[in-house]
Amino acid sequence: MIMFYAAYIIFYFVVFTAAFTLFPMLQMILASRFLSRFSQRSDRHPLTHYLPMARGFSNAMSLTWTLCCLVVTLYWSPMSDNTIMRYIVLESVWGSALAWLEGAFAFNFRADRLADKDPSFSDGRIQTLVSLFGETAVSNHSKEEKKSLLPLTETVGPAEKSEAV
Amino acid sequence: MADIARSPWLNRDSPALNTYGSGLLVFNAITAVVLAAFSLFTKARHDKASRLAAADGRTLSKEQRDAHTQRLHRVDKTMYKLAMFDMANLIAITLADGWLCMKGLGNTIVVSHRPQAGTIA
Repeated sequence: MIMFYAAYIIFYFVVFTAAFTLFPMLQMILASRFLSRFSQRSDRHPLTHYLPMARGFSNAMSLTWTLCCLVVTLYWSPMSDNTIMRYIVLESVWGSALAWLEGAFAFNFRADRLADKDPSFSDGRIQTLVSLFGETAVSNHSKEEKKSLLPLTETVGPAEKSEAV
Repeated sequence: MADIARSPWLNRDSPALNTYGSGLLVFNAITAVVLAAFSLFTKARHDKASRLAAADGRTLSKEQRDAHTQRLHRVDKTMYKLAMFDMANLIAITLADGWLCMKGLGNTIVVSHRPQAGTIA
């Protein structure tokens, strides 16, 4: 009996995690392929040229998924009927909203870092996309080094410290 | 407004929460329409200025192009802030609903999700 419950819990944990990650990842793959094909077909600008377009698209998608998340949570309760199925849908909608919000944050507030990196995901491989998304997420939330106006006392050598005094 | 927000998820005995949820949706719809209209208006104005400049045989200055980009960026940032506001509200509503369910367990989770809700024996 315990084994049955353990298998049940693990199975649904895997299903929920897959719904939370795979559906947003699929959207990212499709969006990046669309962007790379669009850039190849039009005038072969570097991808940084399309950052404003990608910014607008990611913001619209994040707002759409967030609204969808709100509507599903408010009006399509997983607690009434088809609980598992509705929870899977809710997980995938939540994951999509969070993923697009992360992308929108990068395009809104970290566009300079993206332009420095010159992202290129034209090969469309999942590994490349995942690593690019991870790098972007890490660089989004990493703080820049604070530069103080005057040198700190810890960084000043003993001779300089005595001169300063 | 409370009628259209009659949700099985939210506590049926908390019209305030239902009204808040539907009010949030109405606010989102109005704001999204206003943002989309502003964005389209900005693009149309920029296109018109570009056409006029091209007719005169000149191009738009860098300041004009930067101002256009900044306006669109402002719309995008407002959209992002609205999405974050929605997520924060969603978490708050879910927590409030859970708290209400725990507070009146017999009246909310068990009864309200039966087909004939509200008939407590």
